[in-house]
Amino acid sequence: MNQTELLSQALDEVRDGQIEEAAQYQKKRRKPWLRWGGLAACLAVAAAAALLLRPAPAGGEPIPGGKPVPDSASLQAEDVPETAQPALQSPDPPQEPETAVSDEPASPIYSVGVQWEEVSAEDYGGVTSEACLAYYTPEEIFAMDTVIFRGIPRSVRYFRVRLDDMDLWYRVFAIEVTACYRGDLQPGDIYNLLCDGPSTVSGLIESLGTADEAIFMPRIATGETGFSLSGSDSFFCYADLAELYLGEGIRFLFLEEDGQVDYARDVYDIPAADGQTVTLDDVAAYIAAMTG
Amino acid sequence: MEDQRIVELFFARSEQAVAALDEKYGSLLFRISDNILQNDLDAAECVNDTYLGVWNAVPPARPSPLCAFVCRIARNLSLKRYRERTAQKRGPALPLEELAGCIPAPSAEDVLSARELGQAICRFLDGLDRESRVLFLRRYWFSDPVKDIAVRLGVSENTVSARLRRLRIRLQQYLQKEGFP
Repeated sequence: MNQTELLSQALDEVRDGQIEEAAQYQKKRRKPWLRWGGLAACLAVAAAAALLLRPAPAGGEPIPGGKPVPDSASLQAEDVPETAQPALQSPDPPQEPETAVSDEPASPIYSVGVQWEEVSAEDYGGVTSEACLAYYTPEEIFAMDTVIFRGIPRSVRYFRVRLDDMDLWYRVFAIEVTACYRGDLQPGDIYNLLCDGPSTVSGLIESLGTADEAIFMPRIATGETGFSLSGSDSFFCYADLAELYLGEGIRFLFLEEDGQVDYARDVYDIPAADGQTVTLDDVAAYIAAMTG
Repeated sequence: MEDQRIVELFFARSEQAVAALDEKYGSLLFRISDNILQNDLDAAECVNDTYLGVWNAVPPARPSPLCAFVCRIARNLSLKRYRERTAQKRGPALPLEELAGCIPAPSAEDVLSARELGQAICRFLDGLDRESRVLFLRRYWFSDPVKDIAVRLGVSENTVSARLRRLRIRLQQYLQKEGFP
């Protein structure tokens, strides 16, 4: 073995975190206009005045028949300040998240090159698509980075998202939290949960109605969670419409209907306290045991 | 697409997994391979071999972070191909060879030495500020050209060269202090 081979092998010991850091590091360049100080400030004031004096813009290309898209939907990812993170991502979550008492979706700031509109339930045209489930054991599922909470949907809104030439369909449930088993969600607060349009893995999402009580295991939507097409720069970021998202409703949702809980019985072996019927309390106890 | 989603696609044996991996890390992997091989065609083949390697490894492996996992595969495949090529004729020198003066001559206990040396280098990197660590790894792990590092760090090529030289001296001193002759 020569020295190059020895070094090559030695550098194999470099840790994953160090490699990832080096792979992703890009020093932020100082923007040239910052050098112009006062002049830039004057230009900004002039530009702001011009904007105030002209008629309000339509805001992006409207979808035919749809409502205008906010201007911020066309922001580039690099324009988003590092501090612009969803409330749930904050290292020190505020006691009262901004969205805690609202069922309005978050402002569109992360998505690039997409348009969306809210549609009525009648116009919601989601076409069932094919999807596959990856096999996970219950231990693997509970080891995933999800929040787990019990709650009741208070409303549902429907969205058509246009990404390049493709229409994507989503539902956003405003869910009132009644108990939180993992994460920082506060009982009584309302969080927006985004669900994919109908697919072969939608499962119980298709049955979820307002006033149904359920236990949810969604992921937190961040600036990086979303959908994009291969070879396209367009990116639909889930965090623009909701704080949480649920792509699959088979194993990540336990829905109580007519006094019974529907869930993936082939995955979870949940004992019933009365020996007969599994309730949401039984599910909660099972989750507590699984998550320690 | 987030890494975990890509891994899930591999677990689902979805062909989209490779497309998603290519979209997110394709250019990075190509750069690693091309830096080592200095040949676009060979690099493209190595990247494809990397995807095959990931496809075969996941599942059962569940890499986290995915980035480092795929980069390691691409680098190892590229170095292997580099060695095969240079066994026949002398190819372009690797940036790695700049470090040769910092380390002792290989001993009979090469495998153990490589691991110990690697762990010492890790500790050395831990003691550096972030930018110096990135600089070192971009040059000697990713085999980036100096001019690319200069662009990445927003400094001149001369600055990069000078800082690399100082880092090599510090590494040599550190290794001597750690008991490497």
